[in-house]
Amino acid sequence: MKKRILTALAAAVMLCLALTPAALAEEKTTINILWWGSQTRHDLTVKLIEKFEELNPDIDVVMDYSDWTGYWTKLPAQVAGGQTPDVFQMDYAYLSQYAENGVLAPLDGYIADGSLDMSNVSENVVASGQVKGTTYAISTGTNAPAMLYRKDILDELGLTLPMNPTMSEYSAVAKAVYEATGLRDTYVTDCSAVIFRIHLRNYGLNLYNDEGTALGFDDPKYLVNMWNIALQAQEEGWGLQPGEATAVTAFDSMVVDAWSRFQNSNELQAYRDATGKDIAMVMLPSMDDATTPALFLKPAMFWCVAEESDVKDAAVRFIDFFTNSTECFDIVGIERAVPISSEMREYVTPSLDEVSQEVIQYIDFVSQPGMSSALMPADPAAASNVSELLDQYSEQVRYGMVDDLEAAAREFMDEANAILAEAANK
Amino acid sequence: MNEKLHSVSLRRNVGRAVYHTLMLLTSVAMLYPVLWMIASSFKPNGEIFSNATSLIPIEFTVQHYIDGWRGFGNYTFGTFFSNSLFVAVLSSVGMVFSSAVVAFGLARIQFKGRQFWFVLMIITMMLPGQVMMIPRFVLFNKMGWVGTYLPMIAPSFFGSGFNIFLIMQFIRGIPRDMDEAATIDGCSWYGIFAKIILPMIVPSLVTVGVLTFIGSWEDFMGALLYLNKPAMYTVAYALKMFNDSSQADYGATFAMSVLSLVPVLILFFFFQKNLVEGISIQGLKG
Amino acid sequence: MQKSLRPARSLSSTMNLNNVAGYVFILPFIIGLVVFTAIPFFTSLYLSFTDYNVLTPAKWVGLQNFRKMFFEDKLFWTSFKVTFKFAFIQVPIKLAVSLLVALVLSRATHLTGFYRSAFYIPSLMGGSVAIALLWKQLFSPNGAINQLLSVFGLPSNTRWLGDPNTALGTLIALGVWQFGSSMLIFLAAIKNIPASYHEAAIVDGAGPVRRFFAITLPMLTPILFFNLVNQVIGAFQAFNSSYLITQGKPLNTTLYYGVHLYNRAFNHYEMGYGCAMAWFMLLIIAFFTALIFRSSSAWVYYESEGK
Repeated sequence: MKKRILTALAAAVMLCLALTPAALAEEKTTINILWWGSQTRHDLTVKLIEKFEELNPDIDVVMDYSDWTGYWTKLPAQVAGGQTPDVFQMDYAYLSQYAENGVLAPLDGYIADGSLDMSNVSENVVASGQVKGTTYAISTGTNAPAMLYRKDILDELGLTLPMNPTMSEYSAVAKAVYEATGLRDTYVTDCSAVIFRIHLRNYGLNLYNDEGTALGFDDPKYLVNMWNIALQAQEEGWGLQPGEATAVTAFDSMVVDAWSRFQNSNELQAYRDATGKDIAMVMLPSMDDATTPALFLKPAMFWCVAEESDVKDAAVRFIDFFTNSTECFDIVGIERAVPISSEMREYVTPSLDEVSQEVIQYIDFVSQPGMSSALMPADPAAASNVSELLDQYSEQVRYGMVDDLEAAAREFMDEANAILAEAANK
Repeated sequence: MNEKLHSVSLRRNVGRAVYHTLMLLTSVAMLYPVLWMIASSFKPNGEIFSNATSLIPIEFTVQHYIDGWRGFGNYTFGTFFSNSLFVAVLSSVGMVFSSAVVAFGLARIQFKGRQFWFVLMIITMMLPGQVMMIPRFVLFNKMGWVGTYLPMIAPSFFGSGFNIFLIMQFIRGIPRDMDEAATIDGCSWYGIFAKIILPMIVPSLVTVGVLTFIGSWEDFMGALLYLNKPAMYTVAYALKMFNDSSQADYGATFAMSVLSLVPVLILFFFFQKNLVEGISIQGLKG
Repeated sequence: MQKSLRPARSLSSTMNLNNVAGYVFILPFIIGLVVFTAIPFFTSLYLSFTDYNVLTPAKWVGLQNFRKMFFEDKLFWTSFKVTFKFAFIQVPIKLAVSLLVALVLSRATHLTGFYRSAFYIPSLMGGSVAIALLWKQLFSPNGAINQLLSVFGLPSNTRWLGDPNTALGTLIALGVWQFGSSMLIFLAAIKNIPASYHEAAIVDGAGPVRRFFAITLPMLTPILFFNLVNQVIGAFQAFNSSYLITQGKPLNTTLYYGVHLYNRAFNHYEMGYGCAMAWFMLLIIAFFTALIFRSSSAWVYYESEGK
């Protein structure tokens, strides 16, 4: 028995050794690429990388992928171990965190010398990958927040939503739908940092100041206002009560609980597939007294290069390939959202399926002057703490445990400012 | 006389019927999750949650199995299954053997420092794995083991607190008179372990083997952290990849989850037969 | 004990022999401890005194994490209380259920294998996405549980996972329902009780109840003890059910200590703080484990020690 175990162990060790990267050919440059996604993205990206290797015979790509949640455990571990992948996907929420801690390589030099060709990309989009003036990330595609809704139900009830509804137009429809079907709204009662930011942007404000050292507003009325809308919607029934959701996942919530849902434009396809219903999208409702368009175009996700990478040139070549080559978009289409290069976007549009066309039309609509305003700077590293704090307060409010909303709002603002100031002083 | 016998056997039969009825009912309750998962795996995506409480699909489809099995990129679930099997088999073999050896040492031999090592072992069970994750990754990375199966297999060959402690409790339940008799016959500690204790703790070894196999089979964190090539992914890891923040294929998740239960269920069913009341020691005790 | 067996040998030579043999047997554990556990273990202790965001090297901050934990972080104490409540309710119920089921399933009938497998299945599904989705579905306001209640005319509009009064209980139910591995361990222990003990007792005219209390239960105490220690440790480290199903909601009533720790360490990149939390929990667990060990001499029966 012992002998057999030893043999098995030896076999295991040998197999493990055989699979280490040492076996790879030497003269080629090897780059590691890591991303998150699900089956469609994995399949497409693998094909894309094979194409890239074919076109760049001097580069070998070692790819690795995971799901979203796992990614944010895997990446920190690799960074801590000094194994940061050469190229990896990044999210807007984490950009400052990783840039400020020196994980990401500055890319301005590569843009300047043309190896990362941004000539067909608008300045705003390039700026979306910047932290404090330095470019650390290249958007994979453009996205916009959107209100997905059950078009089938609205059609049946003879209701319509304008492409850019105001809050009173939206809530009138919400009430009518609730009275006819019992389905509710989940947007106005969400009260998270993401929603609150959009609320603030109606008045030309942002959740954080430009430096990320404090909140970007100093009047509690905005927060109180958001909470009041939520409480009123709950009371009138068309807003979902806390803890009342019957849905098991975000997807089926659009069948069993709600008729609308706040998402991003590139998720239209996923929602249609998962629900099997006719889902359409409009812009998020703007406040009736809004002074500024609240919506914005945002990077769906980024590609980044590791600061510690020894093969930055090859890594940049991959990103350039992703941004500017027709071969790339022949394969991936708009899976990572609408191409940032205007040339690529024109190239890819005619060959897309219907849903993708709708997504592009939506982005075009939001891009019109007066429909959206500039994207806010990337959130400070402490943003996750602030948004957790807001969730705590909002939950208490929604469960009816707060009598004085204004006092609660002030309390939240004091605590949030303290968190941001402390982080800024580190 | 005859009547009395008859009524006894009748009572026994009624008892048996009650027992089986109760057990079958409870079994159904316990089986519900698997039945639900199997049913869901045959429902089209739009139906999984809208028709969630029903165990019978309105529209029956095997598409999830086809889509799921296809895997990701160039690797199907066939690859992931054989990887998982490799890791789980080696881990459980290593764990059973090493834990038994260590447990015997701690439970039976009076040596200097025994108490110290025992306490240390219990303490290692108490620190949450989440804070060990990053330091462990850094360590395995320095050892050059990241990107291999070693971090997921090798530690099993050195026992674990949980399993050592479990086997110890079994060994402590065995009377010492047998080791003593063996000692008189000139048996060394090694002989006592191999010839007397080992055969008597088979049920606990089976338990450790089954639990380790299942634990390894379901280990998602190890694969997430240490494997960096799709060719090496395990089932537990691959299963997570159907669901992302912006797209989710619950049908494929359920379909592959159902398949991933098959090997562990077979293993469990096969080994639980070893765990039937009081036959093992009888012969030895004589 | 060995001395009496080998009068020819001196005590010290037996001790030496035992020392050598003892260390030979536990050598795998010592190697594993040194190679795989010691460094990460002490690294995490060191990290608990640092500000460590994982992305850049750790900075020593002394007791700051602990100060923040005890005096500033409100959620710390909330999660602490939730975990205590969870542990003290779940552990006894789960132990009792798994022991009871193991006793019932220890006898061989034609269907025993089927029953055992059926009862083990919930545990096989562990912390998977599937179980999380299932539990949400079962306990949703119009899910299977409420439908079942309405059949019996009972109140059927409870929002099990959304109501602060019932959410933790619902997660405890999930934990209890996954009693499979402790059942398996009890089964193995029951099997290890020599049949001759029962046979002798039957000859003496002891009924099943008396045999249970005189033979089965005492013989099971070492394993009961093991399961108790193991479940207490496991309950204090609980993570999966809250993380996958409720994320601490509603109103933090299901915010386990482990979930709060994980959020701090991985969502907010405060690994130093996470390590401090982990080490504080280690002390709490060690305290309770020590209590259980202390008490064990009073109620655990070891055949090998005849007491």
